[in-house]
Amino acid sequence: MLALALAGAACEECDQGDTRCAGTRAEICSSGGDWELLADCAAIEGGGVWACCADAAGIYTCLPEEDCHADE
Amino acid sequence: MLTSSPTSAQTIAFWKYMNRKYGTTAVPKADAVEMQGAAVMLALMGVMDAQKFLARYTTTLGNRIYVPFAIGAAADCPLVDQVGVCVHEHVHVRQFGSINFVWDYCLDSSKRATHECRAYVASMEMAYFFTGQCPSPARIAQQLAAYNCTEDDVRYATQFLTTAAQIIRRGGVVTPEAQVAIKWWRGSAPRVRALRIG
Repeated sequence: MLALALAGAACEECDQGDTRCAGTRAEICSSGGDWELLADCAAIEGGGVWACCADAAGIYTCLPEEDCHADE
Repeated sequence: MLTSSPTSAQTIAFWKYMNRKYGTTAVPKADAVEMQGAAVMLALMGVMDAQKFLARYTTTLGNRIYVPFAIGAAADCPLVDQVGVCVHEHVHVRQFGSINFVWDYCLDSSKRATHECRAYVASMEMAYFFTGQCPSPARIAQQLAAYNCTEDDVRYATQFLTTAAQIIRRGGVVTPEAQVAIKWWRGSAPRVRALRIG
Protein backbone atom coordinates (compact mmCIF):
# COMPACT_ATOMS: atom_id res chain seq x y z
CA MET A 1 0.00 0.00 0.00
CA LEU A 2 2.89 2.34 0.75
CA ALA A 3 4.37 1.66 -2.69
CA LEU A 4 1.02 2.38 -4.33
CA ALA A 5 0.65 5.61 -2.31
CA LEU A 6 4.13 6.74 -3.32
CA ALA A 7 3.44 5.87 -6.96
CA GLY A 8 0.23 7.86 -6.84
CA ALA A 9 2.04 10.90 -5.41
CA ALA A 10 4.79 10.70 -8.02
CA CYS A 11 2.25 10.48 -10.86
CA GLU A 12 -0.04 13.27 -9.63
CA GLU A 13 -1.77 14.72 -12.67
CA CYS A 14 -3.86 17.79 -13.16
CA ASP A 15 -6.01 19.44 -15.79
CA GLN A 16 -4.54 22.30 -17.80
CA GLY A 17 -5.49 25.59 -16.24
CA ASP A 18 -5.88 24.26 -12.69
CA THR A 19 -4.09 26.31 -10.07
CA ARG A 20 -3.20 25.61 -6.46
CA CYS A 21 -1.16 26.78 -3.52
CA ALA A 22 1.54 24.47 -2.20
CA GLY A 23 2.72 26.28 0.90
CA THR A 24 4.07 29.59 -0.37
CA ARG A 25 4.22 28.32 -3.95
CA ALA A 26 1.60 29.29 -6.51
CA GLU A 27 1.40 26.45 -9.02
CA ILE A 28 -0.34 26.06 -12.35
CA CYS A 29 -1.16 22.96 -14.34
CA SER A 30 0.70 22.93 -17.65
CA SER A 31 -0.44 21.80 -21.06
CA GLY A 32 1.44 18.60 -20.31
CA GLY A 33 -0.67 17.89 -17.22
CA ASP A 34 2.13 18.66 -14.76
CA TRP A 35 2.07 21.00 -11.79
CA GLU A 36 4.55 23.79 -12.50
CA LEU A 37 5.77 26.57 -10.23
CA LEU A 38 4.38 29.95 -11.24
CA ALA A 39 5.86 31.92 -8.35
CA ASP A 40 7.17 31.44 -4.84
CA CYS A 41 5.17 34.12 -3.04
CA ALA A 42 7.67 34.25 -0.17
CA ALA A 43 10.46 35.19 -2.60
CA ILE A 44 8.69 38.08 -4.33
CA GLU A 45 10.35 41.45 -3.82
CA GLY A 46 8.40 44.68 -3.81
CA GLY A 47 4.73 45.38 -3.30
CA GLY A 48 4.75 44.36 0.36
CA VAL A 49 4.38 40.88 1.82
CA TRP A 50 2.89 38.25 -0.48
CA ALA A 51 1.01 35.06 0.24
CA CYS A 52 -0.59 32.34 -1.86
CA CYS A 53 -4.37 32.24 -1.93
CA ALA A 54 -7.34 32.37 -4.31
CA ASP A 55 -8.18 35.64 -5.99
CA ALA A 56 -11.70 36.91 -6.66
CA ALA A 57 -11.95 34.64 -9.72
CA GLY A 58 -10.88 31.59 -7.74
CA ILE A 59 -7.41 31.46 -9.31
CA TYR A 60 -4.72 30.47 -6.85
CA THR A 61 -1.91 32.99 -7.13
CA CYS A 62 0.34 35.29 -5.12
CA LEU A 63 -1.50 38.24 -3.65
CA PRO A 64 -0.55 40.91 -1.13
CA GLU A 65 -0.97 39.34 2.29
CA GLU A 66 -3.71 41.74 3.33
CA ASP A 67 -5.79 40.66 0.33
CA CYS A 68 -5.39 37.03 1.25
CA HIS A 69 -6.73 37.63 4.70
CA ALA A 70 -9.54 39.93 3.52
CA ASP A 71 -12.03 37.09 3.35
CA GLU A 72 -11.11 35.57 6.69
CA MET B 1 16.28 65.07 -16.30
CA LEU B 2 14.43 61.81 -15.87
CA THR B 3 14.34 59.41 -18.76
CA SER B 4 12.49 56.16 -19.25
CA SER B 5 15.07 54.65 -21.59
CA PRO B 6 18.57 53.42 -20.85
CA THR B 7 21.50 54.91 -22.74
CA SER B 8 23.92 52.96 -24.89
CA ALA B 9 26.64 53.22 -22.24
CA GLN B 10 24.27 52.09 -19.49
CA THR B 11 23.13 49.12 -21.54
CA ILE B 12 26.72 48.03 -22.18
CA ALA B 13 27.60 48.49 -18.50
CA PHE B 14 24.54 46.49 -17.45
CA TRP B 15 25.38 43.57 -19.70
CA LYS B 16 28.94 43.57 -18.34
CA TYR B 17 27.61 43.59 -14.79
CA MET B 18 25.32 40.63 -15.42
CA ASN B 19 28.10 38.75 -17.22
CA ARG B 20 30.42 39.23 -14.24
CA LYS B 21 27.77 38.39 -11.67
CA TYR B 22 26.61 35.17 -13.32
CA GLY B 23 29.85 34.12 -15.00
CA THR B 24 28.41 34.49 -18.48
CA THR B 25 29.81 35.69 -21.80
CA ALA B 26 27.97 37.56 -24.55
CA VAL B 27 28.98 36.28 -27.99
CA PRO B 28 28.02 37.76 -31.38
CA LYS B 29 25.77 35.11 -32.86
CA ALA B 30 26.92 35.65 -36.44
CA ASP B 31 30.49 34.73 -35.48
CA ALA B 32 29.64 31.47 -33.72
CA VAL B 33 30.09 28.22 -35.63
CA GLU B 34 28.26 26.36 -32.88
CA MET B 35 25.19 28.47 -33.58
CA GLN B 36 25.15 27.31 -37.20
CA GLY B 37 25.09 23.75 -35.88
CA ALA B 38 22.39 24.55 -33.35
CA ALA B 39 20.27 26.11 -36.09
CA VAL B 40 20.45 22.92 -38.13
CA MET B 41 19.66 20.75 -35.10
CA LEU B 42 16.67 22.82 -34.02
CA ALA B 43 15.33 22.84 -37.58
CA LEU B 44 15.69 19.05 -37.84
CA MET B 45 13.91 18.63 -34.50
CA GLY B 46 11.12 20.86 -35.72
CA VAL B 47 11.63 23.42 -32.98
CA MET B 48 12.39 26.47 -35.11
CA ASP B 49 13.26 27.67 -38.60
CA ALA B 50 17.04 27.93 -38.95
CA GLN B 51 17.22 31.38 -40.55
CA LYS B 52 14.81 32.87 -38.05
CA PHE B 53 16.80 31.30 -35.22
CA LEU B 54 20.04 32.88 -36.38
CA ALA B 55 18.77 36.35 -37.26
CA ARG B 56 16.10 37.16 -34.70
CA TYR B 57 16.68 35.22 -31.52
CA THR B 58 19.19 35.47 -28.72
CA THR B 59 20.27 32.00 -27.65
CA THR B 60 21.84 30.72 -24.48
CA LEU B 61 23.94 27.59 -24.21
CA GLY B 62 25.21 27.03 -20.71
CA ASN B 63 26.90 30.28 -19.73
CA ARG B 64 27.32 31.64 -23.27
CA ILE B 65 24.71 34.07 -24.56
CA TYR B 66 24.67 34.45 -28.34
CA VAL B 67 23.25 37.81 -29.35
CA PRO B 68 22.07 38.79 -32.86
CA PHE B 69 22.64 42.48 -32.13
CA ALA B 70 25.55 44.70 -31.07
CA ILE B 71 25.06 45.44 -27.37
CA GLY B 72 24.50 49.16 -26.97
CA ALA B 73 23.59 49.71 -30.64
CA ALA B 74 20.03 51.05 -30.59
CA ALA B 75 19.78 50.72 -34.38
CA ASP B 76 20.12 46.95 -34.04
CA CYS B 77 17.58 46.54 -31.26
CA PRO B 78 15.90 49.04 -28.89
CA LEU B 79 18.01 49.44 -25.77
CA VAL B 80 15.12 48.67 -23.42
CA ASP B 81 14.68 45.39 -25.27
CA GLN B 82 18.41 44.67 -25.03
CA VAL B 83 18.13 44.99 -21.25
CA GLY B 84 15.07 42.75 -21.19
CA VAL B 85 16.83 40.16 -23.34
CA CYS B 86 19.80 40.18 -20.98
CA VAL B 87 17.64 39.37 -17.98
CA HIS B 88 15.54 36.85 -19.95
CA GLU B 89 18.62 34.94 -21.05
CA HIS B 90 20.09 34.87 -17.56
CA VAL B 91 16.96 33.03 -16.45
CA HIS B 92 17.88 30.40 -19.05
CA VAL B 93 21.45 30.35 -17.68
CA ARG B 94 19.98 29.34 -14.33
CA GLN B 95 17.74 26.76 -15.99
CA PHE B 96 20.79 25.11 -17.55
CA GLY B 97 21.75 24.20 -14.02
CA SER B 98 18.94 21.66 -14.00
CA ILE B 99 20.00 18.23 -15.21
CA ASN B 100 16.82 17.72 -17.28
CA PHE B 101 16.67 21.16 -18.85
CA VAL B 102 18.13 20.47 -22.30
CA TRP B 103 16.17 17.25 -22.71
CA ASP B 104 12.91 18.84 -21.55
CA TYR B 105 13.39 21.98 -23.61
CA CYS B 106 14.20 20.23 -26.87
CA LEU B 107 11.81 17.30 -26.67
CA ASP B 108 8.76 18.41 -24.67
CA SER B 109 6.81 21.42 -25.96
CA SER B 110 4.92 21.84 -22.68
CA LYS B 111 8.18 21.97 -20.70
CA ARG B 112 9.63 24.31 -23.33
CA ALA B 113 6.64 26.60 -22.84
CA THR B 114 7.13 26.55 -19.06
CA HIS B 115 10.82 27.40 -19.30
CA GLU B 116 10.15 30.21 -21.74
CA CYS B 117 7.29 31.54 -19.58
CA ARG B 118 9.61 31.87 -16.61
CA ALA B 119 12.07 33.82 -18.75
CA TYR B 120 9.28 35.90 -20.29
CA VAL B 121 8.17 36.91 -16.79
CA ALA B 122 11.62 38.45 -16.32
CA SER B 123 11.26 40.32 -19.63
CA MET B 124 7.87 41.61 -18.51
CA GLU B 125 9.27 42.72 -15.17
CA MET B 126 12.01 44.73 -16.87
CA ALA B 127 9.57 46.27 -19.36
CA TYR B 128 7.32 47.30 -16.47
CA PHE B 129 10.29 48.74 -14.60
CA PHE B 130 11.26 51.00 -17.50
CA THR B 131 7.86 51.90 -18.91
CA GLY B 132 5.24 51.37 -16.22
CA GLN B 133 3.41 49.18 -18.73
CA CYS B 134 3.21 45.40 -18.74
CA PRO B 135 3.46 43.83 -22.21
CA SER B 136 0.47 41.84 -23.42
CA PRO B 137 0.66 38.28 -22.01
CA ALA B 138 -1.33 36.93 -24.94
CA ARG B 139 0.97 38.52 -27.49
CA ILE B 140 4.05 37.17 -25.73
CA ALA B 141 2.55 33.69 -25.40
CA GLN B 142 1.76 33.65 -29.13
CA GLN B 143 5.50 33.88 -29.81
CA LEU B 144 5.75 30.28 -28.62
CA ALA B 145 4.22 29.19 -31.90
CA ALA B 146 7.65 29.93 -33.42
CA TYR B 147 9.11 27.45 -30.92
CA ASN B 148 6.92 24.65 -32.28
CA CYS B 149 4.63 24.80 -29.27
CA THR B 150 1.03 23.65 -29.63
CA GLU B 151 -2.15 25.68 -29.26
CA ASP B 152 -2.62 24.10 -25.84
CA ASP B 153 0.89 25.23 -24.90
CA VAL B 154 0.09 28.77 -26.01
CA ARG B 155 -3.17 28.78 -24.01
CA TYR B 156 -1.29 27.56 -20.95
CA ALA B 157 1.41 30.17 -21.46
CA THR B 158 -1.21 32.90 -21.79
CA GLN B 159 -2.69 31.92 -18.44
CA PHE B 160 0.76 31.67 -16.85
CA LEU B 161 1.82 35.10 -18.07
CA THR B 162 -1.54 36.72 -17.31
CA THR B 163 -1.30 35.57 -13.70
CA ALA B 164 2.30 36.78 -13.49
CA ALA B 165 1.31 40.15 -14.99
CA GLN B 166 -1.15 40.67 -12.16
CA ILE B 167 1.69 40.28 -9.67
CA ILE B 168 3.94 42.59 -11.68
CA ARG B 169 1.31 45.33 -11.93
CA ARG B 170 0.98 45.30 -8.15
CA GLY B 171 4.68 45.99 -7.79
CA GLY B 172 5.96 42.48 -7.25
CA VAL B 173 9.15 41.15 -8.84
CA VAL B 174 9.12 37.36 -9.04
CA THR B 175 12.27 36.47 -10.93
CA PRO B 176 15.61 36.46 -9.06
CA GLU B 177 17.49 37.75 -12.09
CA ALA B 178 15.05 40.66 -12.50
CA GLN B 179 15.43 41.43 -8.79
CA VAL B 180 19.20 41.67 -9.28
CA ALA B 181 18.83 43.74 -12.43
CA ILE B 182 16.43 46.24 -10.90
CA LYS B 183 18.72 46.74 -7.91
CA TRP B 184 21.55 47.52 -10.34
CA TRP B 185 19.47 50.01 -12.34
CA ARG B 186 18.30 51.75 -9.19
CA GLY B 187 21.83 52.04 -7.88
CA SER B 188 23.80 52.69 -11.05
CA ALA B 189 21.36 54.59 -13.23
CA PRO B 190 18.97 56.48 -10.93
CA ARG B 191 17.97 58.85 -13.71
CA VAL B 192 16.16 56.01 -15.45
CA ARG B 193 12.53 56.34 -14.55
CA ALA B 194 11.48 53.52 -12.31
CA LEU B 195 8.47 52.60 -10.31
CA ARG B 196 8.83 52.46 -6.59
CA ILE B 197 8.71 48.96 -5.21
CA GLY B 198 8.26 48.09 -1.59
